[in-house]
Amino acid sequence: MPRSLPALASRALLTRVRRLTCPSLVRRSLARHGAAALAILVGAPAVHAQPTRTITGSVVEAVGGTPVPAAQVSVVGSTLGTVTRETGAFTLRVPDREVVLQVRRIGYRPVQRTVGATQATVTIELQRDAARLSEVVVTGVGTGIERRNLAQAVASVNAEELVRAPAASFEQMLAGKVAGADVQTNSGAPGGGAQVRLRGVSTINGATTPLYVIDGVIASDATIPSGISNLTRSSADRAVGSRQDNASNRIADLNPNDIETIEVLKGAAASAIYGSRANNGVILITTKRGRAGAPQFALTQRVGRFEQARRFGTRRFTSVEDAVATFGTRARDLWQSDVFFDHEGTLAGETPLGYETIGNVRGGTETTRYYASALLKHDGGIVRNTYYDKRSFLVNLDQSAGERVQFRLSGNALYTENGRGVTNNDNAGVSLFAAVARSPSFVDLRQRPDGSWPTNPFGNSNPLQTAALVRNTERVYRYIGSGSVTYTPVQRATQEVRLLLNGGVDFFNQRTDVFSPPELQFEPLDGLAGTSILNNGQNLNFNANLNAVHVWRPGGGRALSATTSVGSQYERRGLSVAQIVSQGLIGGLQNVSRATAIGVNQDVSLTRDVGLFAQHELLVRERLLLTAGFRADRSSNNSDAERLFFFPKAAASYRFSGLPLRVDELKVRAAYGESGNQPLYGQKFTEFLAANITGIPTFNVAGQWAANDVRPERQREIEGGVDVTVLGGRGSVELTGYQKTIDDLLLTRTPALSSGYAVQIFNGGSIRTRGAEAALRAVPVQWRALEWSSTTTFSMERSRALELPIPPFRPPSFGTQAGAFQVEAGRSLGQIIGNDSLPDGRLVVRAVRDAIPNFRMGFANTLRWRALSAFAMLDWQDGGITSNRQRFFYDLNGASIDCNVRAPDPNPQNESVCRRRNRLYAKQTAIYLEDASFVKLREVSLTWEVPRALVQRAAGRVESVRTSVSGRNLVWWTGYTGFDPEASNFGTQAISRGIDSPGFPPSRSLWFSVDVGF
Amino acid sequence: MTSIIPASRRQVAHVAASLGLALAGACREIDAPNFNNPSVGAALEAPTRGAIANAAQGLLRGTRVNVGESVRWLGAFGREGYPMAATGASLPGSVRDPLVFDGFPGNVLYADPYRNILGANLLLAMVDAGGGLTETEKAAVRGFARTIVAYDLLQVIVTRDRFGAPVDVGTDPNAQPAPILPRDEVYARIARLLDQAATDLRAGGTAFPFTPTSGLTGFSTPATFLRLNRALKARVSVYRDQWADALAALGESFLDTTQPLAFGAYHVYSTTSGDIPNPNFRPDLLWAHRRLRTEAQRRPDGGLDLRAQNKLVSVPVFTLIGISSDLQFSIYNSPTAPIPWVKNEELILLRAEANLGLGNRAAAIRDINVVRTNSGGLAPLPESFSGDLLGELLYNKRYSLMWEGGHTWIDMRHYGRLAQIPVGRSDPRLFDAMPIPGGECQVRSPQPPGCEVVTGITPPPTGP
Repeated sequence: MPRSLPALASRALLTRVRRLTCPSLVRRSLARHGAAALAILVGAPAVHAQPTRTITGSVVEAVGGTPVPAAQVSVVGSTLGTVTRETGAFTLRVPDREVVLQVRRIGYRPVQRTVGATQATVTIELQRDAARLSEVVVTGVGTGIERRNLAQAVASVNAEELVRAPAASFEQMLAGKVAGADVQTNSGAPGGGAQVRLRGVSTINGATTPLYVIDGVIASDATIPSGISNLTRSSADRAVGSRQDNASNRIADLNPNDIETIEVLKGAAASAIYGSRANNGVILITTKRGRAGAPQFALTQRVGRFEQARRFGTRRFTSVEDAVATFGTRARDLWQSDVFFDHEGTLAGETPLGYETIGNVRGGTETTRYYASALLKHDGGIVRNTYYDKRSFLVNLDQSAGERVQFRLSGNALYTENGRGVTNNDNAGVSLFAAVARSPSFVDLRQRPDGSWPTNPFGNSNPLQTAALVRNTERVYRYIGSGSVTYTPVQRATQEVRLLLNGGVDFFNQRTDVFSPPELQFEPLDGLAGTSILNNGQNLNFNANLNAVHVWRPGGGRALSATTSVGSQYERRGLSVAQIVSQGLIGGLQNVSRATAIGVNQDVSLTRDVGLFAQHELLVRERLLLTAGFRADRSSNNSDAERLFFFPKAAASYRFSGLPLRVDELKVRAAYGESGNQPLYGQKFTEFLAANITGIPTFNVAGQWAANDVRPERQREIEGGVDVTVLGGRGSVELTGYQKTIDDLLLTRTPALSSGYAVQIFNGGSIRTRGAEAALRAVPVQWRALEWSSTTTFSMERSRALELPIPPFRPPSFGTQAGAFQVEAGRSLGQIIGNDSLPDGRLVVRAVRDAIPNFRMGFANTLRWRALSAFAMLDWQDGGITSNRQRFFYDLNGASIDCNVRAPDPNPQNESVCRRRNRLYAKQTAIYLEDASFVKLREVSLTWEVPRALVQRAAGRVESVRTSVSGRNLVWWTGYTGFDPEASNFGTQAISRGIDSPGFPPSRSLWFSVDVGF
Repeated sequence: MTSIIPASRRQVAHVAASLGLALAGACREIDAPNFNNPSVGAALEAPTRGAIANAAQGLLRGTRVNVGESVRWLGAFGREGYPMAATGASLPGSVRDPLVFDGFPGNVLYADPYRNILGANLLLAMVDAGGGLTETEKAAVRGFARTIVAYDLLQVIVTRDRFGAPVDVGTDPNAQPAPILPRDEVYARIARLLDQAATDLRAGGTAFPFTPTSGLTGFSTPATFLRLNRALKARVSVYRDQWADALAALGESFLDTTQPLAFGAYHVYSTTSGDIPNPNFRPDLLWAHRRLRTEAQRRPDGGLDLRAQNKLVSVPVFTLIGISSDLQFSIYNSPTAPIPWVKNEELILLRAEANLGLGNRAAAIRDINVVRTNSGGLAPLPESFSGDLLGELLYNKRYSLMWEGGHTWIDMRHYGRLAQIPVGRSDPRLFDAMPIPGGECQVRSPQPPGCEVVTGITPPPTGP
């Protein structure tokens, strides 16, 4: 398989792309291999020679000699080719003369070997390619270019790099691997719930997730709240889910094991061609596809174990006086000395198993190729009734119909089931880790032998009972399907015309059931014992593209190669979420119709977009790349659905080679692009809220009104950088600086509250994010069988509001007392304002912290020695702020560990450390704003490739066996005193992220895996 | 640009046809409607009877929003009870910490009444535009809408008090913010608005062109709704010390000592989908101040004042940040329990208050005794009672209007007796007004009074 398949390109198209860039390889070879390369050029025209003999061979790593599976072996100057098996072996029919074999594999430098007319076997060694210069990176819709000429810093992550240690979703696996991608896991709950932010803040009120494109299908990353807020009262609205529901995001459904490559287009300079949906960057996902050859089967079995990664810690009461001071006189009656019930430990103390069973098969002929895979996955949760199951079945099919037409079909059926638990912000004493704060250590809350549960005398709920009896389950059925037809009417040495029609659907149904039976302690409190929620979300995305590409290569393209593409896109996105919240369950049944109070809510959204694009790319002497293009978009989400918005782009790069000091290549690059972030559905409407009072219909003021020209936000990004490759590809550095300004922001103007209007949606103002990124790849040691390769990513960004046509405002979160993000012209977008005390004792509200981290670093290292390889990756965030609301809850209830510690003098009231914190907090918000710096050992693995001889002695048909031990989030270093500095109570947010309100505790996992190929 | 050199005409045709198709596709109609809510613009441009009815009915829903909140907040300010959600900030925010003007909790009890006033103004605009209503019907709707506006303004001014409040708000979101008028002027404007509404109602015929809620049983026609309007006018007049006006308004209200004391207008709740249950039916979150039991007077048989006995219930003690209570309210005993808006019992006490203000002690004692004996089961005051009659009146208002929207706090402030509200070391702070919220301050320059942290007063504590 080629590296980095452009997601929108068909396989056939890709062949062309390779052909397009093929001359550069030839040239390079000429310099290095002299005569051999000359032979290629001479042999090249002999395209139609018939294969008459067979070459068998194997592809191994130059260091250590380990086999390289899935490497592409092709005969230069022909269409003949195959792919190596798990053992690195290949068999290839070639013409009856001397041939030159080319071997390519992602992560290795391409190699060409001449095989004599009588030579029948060959062993080809591949060297690790830190710089990955030959990787093809997408630069347009249906076109791509080799990384050596690329004018933007596009990150790509391949299958091997991605799946080092199992995780619930591929985004979690991306954490720390891409410079400029901030992947944050919102909670420790099993399953999804991560947010990806590319290059800092890009919006305030607009869509916040990157655009995900899977094999050409624009996929949904919707987050549908469960409605658990009906139990926790985190939101006052009944029957409407809350952003505080700790719901998972839908892109997490994907099976990471099917991903061949992920390309990350971080800003408008790279993503402009995706137009008005590209402001948050674009993540292109290409799934694995079939290869010509006999069927290859691979089976992987993983077994793992989860445990709580970090404790919050709860106070252990040591005297009845303390207990009475905290919980009142009632504590005296219930006091037991010399007992310590560790409720947190009991609640998050499960150590469940997880497993993954993965099978896939790939193979085919020159005209038909297939890849099919199946995944069965189960992750246990550290809290009772929490878990994550995933089933995935994928079939990818490639079919050629003659020389000119190629079909491609993909279908992925997915099922995920996720027990999420009862966590996050709480106003009712129900959220598990808020309830722990009201559960003193001297009260036994465990289930009694007769099956009944003790009542928590000091709180509304017994968290152990809540965890045992409440079910909060997301079930998602999903189908992502795509198809494409490539038609190549003209195909000559100097000219090529391709037409590409592709499209796809992303359909899912997410059903969330919450069942809180009447016998729970908190259930009767609202007079309606028992709650059952049935939440049904149905999503259908459809998109279709029609592209035409023209490639012109006068004289074979060495002097000049020009690629022109034009096309159009239609996209439709529809989501309907209907929720039934039933309270007062009659007979205690989960059936939502058997209740005394039934609330129904439905939200429907529908968006239709049309885009047109054109791009021209000019490669001069394989050194100078010039690109220009534009996209024009209109959308039903804009006030004027007819109006086209234009997003231009331009880029240039120049490559120097043959430099001194063992520098292989040096490239300078600059790129400019514009992109948009279209309004969300509904932002253009001014509406009454249709409701009722005791069944009498009402129109009420909804508060929001829209300007009459709501339109996309516009990002202008300029990016520049230098890429250097040294020591024959053993080291490379990629340095990038960028600045993006986002104008025409979707802002909410708040008129005087007395006007009655809450907010007006309008466009205006501008923000700016500047940043620097570095990626350093090196193979520092390559000695005998020992190889050490290392990748370091670094990124930092600063975001600032440049000008705002409105006074400073706060995106929704908690109030200033708890620390609120405030967007203010001239100030950082991470600015948190809160209460503060002046030296004279006066109380003021002012900026107290900045939540933007100083920098992020990822540090990944692989050590290989013979059949052994060890991998470890550290993810480091320096700085940043997380508002520890859980600490506030704990202090308020005297439940923090340091409530046992007397505060320093002067201390006339003899107060504890936690009480003092809680008292001073009203005058000093920053007390609960904690440094969010962390270093996490994200991934670690140790792999042993079982020697082939051993394998074949045991089972003759088995070709390879690999075993590994891997771990995720095993070790943490952080000064943060809560569960996890990454926690985000409000889920995915443009700005109001680090707010930690009694969330789900994080877990670590350790896995044992066996991979078998046959 | 390079030129395409195709292999054949047929291939040119393929390419051209595809591009033509693409362009044709790009020009299709793509707009999408609002699937979730009706448009304001459509309702204003061409109002229908149905839309006007819905908007009118909406005012009763809108005004209810603030009521639920004010019971808790003003109840805590007046030490009637405590909002004790163990995880919330309402408790420290209402009794311990200063009121921050910028954000929670200073912004509560402000936006909601104004949002409903906007609803009323939009309704008035719809009525002006026609909607198929007769002139009589229009007058009825106007009288109803203006009464609601006056009541919502009253909800605002009782919390902002000395800082004043904006009054001249319209429907234009881009208009300059309405000036903030001083307190006395706001009260005068409310009174005038109620009078204007009364005029409309008198011309409003025999029926409203919309459906009032069951909370307005007895007030569901323009003529009977007028009696509620006059009751509100009486309350406003008493707040303004306009005793004669108060008595005049009470004369046209539904005050009737022969009627049940509970007769009156109510804010109603339901568990119907799309409606909300009574937010103050939350025994797990809401606790009564113990003084409501300790300060209750005794009946001749030694038992507690019936109001304390019937409205409070003993529960196991609950402690949070040093504040303890073993009392809860049983006033709202189900999710559908209504919250009183104005009731006969209040009107009788308002008449006593007005008479007391005019120096008619005997008349005041007569009315107080109606409530004392009927509602509290207490012995009547002797006609010659010479003690603190105002104190006695305030006692009766406190127990008769307990947990119904901050009457205790409002009345104690009215008579300069705030500092008499007992506080403890854990709930040391008493407020005389809530700040003007940041969302009102930000659009004004210079900053009006009230855009500040209200620290309140901290009298010497009398308890823990």
